[in-house]
Amino acid sequence: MMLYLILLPMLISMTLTAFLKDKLVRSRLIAVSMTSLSLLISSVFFYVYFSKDLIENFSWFNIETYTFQISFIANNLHLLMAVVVSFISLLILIFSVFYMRREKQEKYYFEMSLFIFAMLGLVVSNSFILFYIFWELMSISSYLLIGFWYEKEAASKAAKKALILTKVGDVSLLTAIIILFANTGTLSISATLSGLSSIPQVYLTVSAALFIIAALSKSAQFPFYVWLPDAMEAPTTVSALLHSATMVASGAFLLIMIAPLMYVSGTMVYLVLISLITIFISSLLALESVDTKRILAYSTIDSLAFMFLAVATLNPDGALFYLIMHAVFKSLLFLLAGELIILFGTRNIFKLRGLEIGKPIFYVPAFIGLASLAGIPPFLGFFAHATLSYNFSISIELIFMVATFLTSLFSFRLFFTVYHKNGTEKIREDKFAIIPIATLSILSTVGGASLFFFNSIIPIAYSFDLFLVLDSIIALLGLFAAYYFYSNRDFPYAKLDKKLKSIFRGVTYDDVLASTGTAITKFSGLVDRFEGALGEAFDSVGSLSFSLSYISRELQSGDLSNYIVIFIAGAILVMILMLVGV
Amino acid sequence: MIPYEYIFYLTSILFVIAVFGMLMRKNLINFVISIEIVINAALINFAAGSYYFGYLNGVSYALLILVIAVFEAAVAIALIIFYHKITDNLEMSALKEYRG
Amino acid sequence: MINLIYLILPGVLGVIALYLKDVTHSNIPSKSISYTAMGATLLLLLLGTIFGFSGFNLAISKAIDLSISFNLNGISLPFLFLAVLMPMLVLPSFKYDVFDKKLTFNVLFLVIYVSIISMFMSSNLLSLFIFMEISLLSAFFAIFLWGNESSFNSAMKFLIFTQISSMLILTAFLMVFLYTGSFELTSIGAFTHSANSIYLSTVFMLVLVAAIIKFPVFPLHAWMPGAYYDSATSITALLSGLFSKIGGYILLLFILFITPISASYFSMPVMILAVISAFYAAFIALSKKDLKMMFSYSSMLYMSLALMGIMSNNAIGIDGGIFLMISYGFISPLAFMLTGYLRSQTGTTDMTKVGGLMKKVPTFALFFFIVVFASIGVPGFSNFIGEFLVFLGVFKFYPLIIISIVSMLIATGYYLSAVKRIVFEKFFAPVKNLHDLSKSELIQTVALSFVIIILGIMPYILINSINLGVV
Repeated sequence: MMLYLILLPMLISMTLTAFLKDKLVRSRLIAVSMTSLSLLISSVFFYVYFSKDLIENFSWFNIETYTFQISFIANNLHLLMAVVVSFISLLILIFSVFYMRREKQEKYYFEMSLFIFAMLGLVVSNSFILFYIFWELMSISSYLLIGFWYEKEAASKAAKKALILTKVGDVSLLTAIIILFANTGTLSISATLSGLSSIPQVYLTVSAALFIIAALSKSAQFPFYVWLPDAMEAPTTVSALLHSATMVASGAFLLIMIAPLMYVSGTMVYLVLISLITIFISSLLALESVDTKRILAYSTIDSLAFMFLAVATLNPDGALFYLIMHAVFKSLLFLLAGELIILFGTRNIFKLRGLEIGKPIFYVPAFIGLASLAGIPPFLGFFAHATLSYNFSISIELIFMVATFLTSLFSFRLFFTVYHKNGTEKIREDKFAIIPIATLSILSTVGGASLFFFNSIIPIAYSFDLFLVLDSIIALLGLFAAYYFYSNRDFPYAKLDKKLKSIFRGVTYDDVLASTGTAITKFSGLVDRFEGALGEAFDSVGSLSFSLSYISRELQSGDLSNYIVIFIAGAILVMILMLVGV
Repeated sequence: MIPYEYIFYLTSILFVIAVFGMLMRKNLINFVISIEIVINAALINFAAGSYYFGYLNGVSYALLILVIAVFEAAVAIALIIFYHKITDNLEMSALKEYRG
Repeated sequence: MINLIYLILPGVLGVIALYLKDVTHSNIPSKSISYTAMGATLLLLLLGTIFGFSGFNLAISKAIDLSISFNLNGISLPFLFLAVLMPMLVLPSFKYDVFDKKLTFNVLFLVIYVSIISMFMSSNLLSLFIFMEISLLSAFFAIFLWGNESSFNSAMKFLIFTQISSMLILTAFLMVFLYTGSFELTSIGAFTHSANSIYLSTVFMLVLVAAIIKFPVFPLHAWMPGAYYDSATSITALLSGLFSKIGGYILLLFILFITPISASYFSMPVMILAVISAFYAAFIALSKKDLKMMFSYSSMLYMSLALMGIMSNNAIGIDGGIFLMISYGFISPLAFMLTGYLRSQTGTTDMTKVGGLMKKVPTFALFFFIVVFASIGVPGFSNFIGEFLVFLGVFKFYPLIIISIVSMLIATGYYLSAVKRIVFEKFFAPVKNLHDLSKSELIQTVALSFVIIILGIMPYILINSINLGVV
């Protein structure tokens, strides 16, 4: 079967939206229909290839004895991801019909189609080079989408920052791929993973480290996380798709996919450390943000760190389950934020508070989403925590409980600050907005049950033990703490927030980045001055020859007596030389 | 018979004086006179050489040089006269435009 | 079977036609004659790839073994493809700078065109040298006559540097002749392919230094900023897209066919030099505020990477170096054409004086994006394949050299800064009325982008035509 059929609809969508004006054919129609087609095809493949593996190879080009192949893989893991990605993309595109109705349609749907194409390709590719191609295409579409409103200086700066930071990851990924290809002679991921024993240990460690760096940069972990909060300059639907559910998850997906390589390389302890650092930094930063989307961005970083923690504790399947579930409730939360933005015009949680939003149609999905995020039963997050923490040691479990508390605290801070008990606002709902939100909310509520039969798709281990019970109690504690601190209108929350802000100012190391940027600029200025000096050195060789010629020009003075002197001097010289016997 | 060296000293001194004259004199006629003296010095040397060493080659060379010197002097003086007619100036330093 | 002489016939006929036009004062625009000639050559090249080429041999002097002989060797086809196709897409840019002496310009253009094609086809080293010299001298005039105010100095610097490199190349060729008694590539190869000595190493070193001047690569690149910046847009595109490959081609001839063993001894030092040069060029490009200067140094960066690939002593690296050279030979004309457009519309190429162009001239912004993405190695464009193969080959040669991949990060930095400065944010420019790309410019940019994308998606077009063992 031709696996690339999954990608073909998105390719068609890209071409059509790129070349057809919106007046001729509605771009959103093309995008939505093609995405549903992709969803259909991936589901069909998933059903057909359930518990079977299929690998397809196409030869792209070859040089002497090396063949560069493109290969696709169909097994449960990859096809499940394809289904999830196309499903979430479809829902978000439907929401975009409502959200982006006043924007330039062709550009938006083209860039979104490009992204969905890249993401779908990423999850079904079995060849490292194909994986890299789609990875890079995702970086580019993310750049274009973050800079969608390019006239705003903040957006163009954020786009540039995002691309440069993710490019660091791209470069590491490419290096890792080259190292593996040079050692195994094949680009196929499945072949590499089964042939790990033939690679020298040093290359395994180096390539694993590079893969980790690539995943960290793409998934906005420490120390690369600074691009994600700024990426919130993008339209909210973009944030929902790229920066919560799919693109940033691709870093975790990479590590899940090449988990065998990771586990023999001995770098997992560092990954645990980095994940824990990221969790704390992002939670604390979320606690002091006042912008809805920024809080959600930090929560994404937080959740991704959970996934990395799971991978690092040798539980890639738990990470995968959490990834899929996270996609569901995080996109729900972003869509809600988008709804608030477009209906009420602001992202600031205090301004939203002033608007006194309280109708159930708003706060019920928000509560469901945030409860999933925090891990409160019986919502999605609770079940996700069950598999996530399967391999946690006691110390990690303790730290994780603190993390859960913080997560719950900042989630419900958002909830209680924005939503009011008695809503007085007027609403104007749109069916395109309701359908995705409703779907996602329902999934977040009942989806947890899928944990029990997920085992048949991908072998997954979960345990409902004491730790989980304690964890959910702590999450509830966080909810009540948030209620206490933030729901009471007279509580001096502003002072608390300001205090937190001043403490954790240093954690956003934007100034570190800025000074690195200045240092690089100064260095390049130095190199430029050196280049100028080098050019002048060569020029002075030229002027040296000019001055030499000035001197020798004096010989041709045109003065007769001069000539005679030289003539006689030369004659005497010749005579002497003849005498000496030369 | 005086030793050959004395004649040689005479002609070399004459030669040096004349070369010095070529270099130092400002006037064109003086220049030509110096050239003549140079030639004559070499002439005497040739003649004395043939006398002392018994070959007639020196004398034939001397005759040849004499004739050529006469012609060369004539041409030089003619040029100088012509030059004087045009510019009315007999300074060496005026001849500065030998560049092409 | 297309005889290779047919490839230069249209060009020669074009020059004659231009001369006749001048004599008869006819009204046919010179550029039409040029386009016809170049189009005919392209057609013949395509026919040749379908039906096959046959060689051509015209002996001029047996004593010094000078003959005009055209024969394809294993690496000629990609370079021929570049040399035949690219100038045709560059010529439309002449309207930015060439306001007078249009006939002379077309004559010079065609002369450069014909001589470079002949150069890539020659299998006789001496005639190769002659054709190279013809093209370089024509380039000198082209730089000087239609450049800006300081173009004379730049043209002189270009001439002196490249003449020094030509002298080195001639010395190397003569040394080879003295060693083997022939200038023909096939017979030389048979003689020297497996030999090694100090003599052959000296030959290779001479060619190496000449290539370093021609690419250019640090430290002998001082002619480049002036020559690229001060010349007309189309000439800069030719310089950066075509002339920089000459050095690489000759170096490749020596590495593959003439002195392969000596070349392998030089690999390590040259690679280190290439890495230094790549970083050097990248940092300077980062500091430049003028778009044309930035593109010039960027061109130097990619040529250093190509040098790295060529010297990597394995097939992947060499194929990658060739591919990178050809692919960048299409990207840089597009880049320089965009700077020419920018200068013709706003009067400046200074990035600090122009901004927010996406609002007013979105088509320009689109192609600017294509240039940026193609250069930094986004897959789907040709540079990605070239870079990937080069880094792979370099890693296979000596793992640590892969650190040069960081230069791609710096490249991303300055390209994105350029985008942010001139495409994004609020619109401002010295001139308010900007026209978007006109039809002829659009044809040019679309054609170039098309080639770049096709090469990126189907690289086997070029890679299959490279045959590293065949002389």
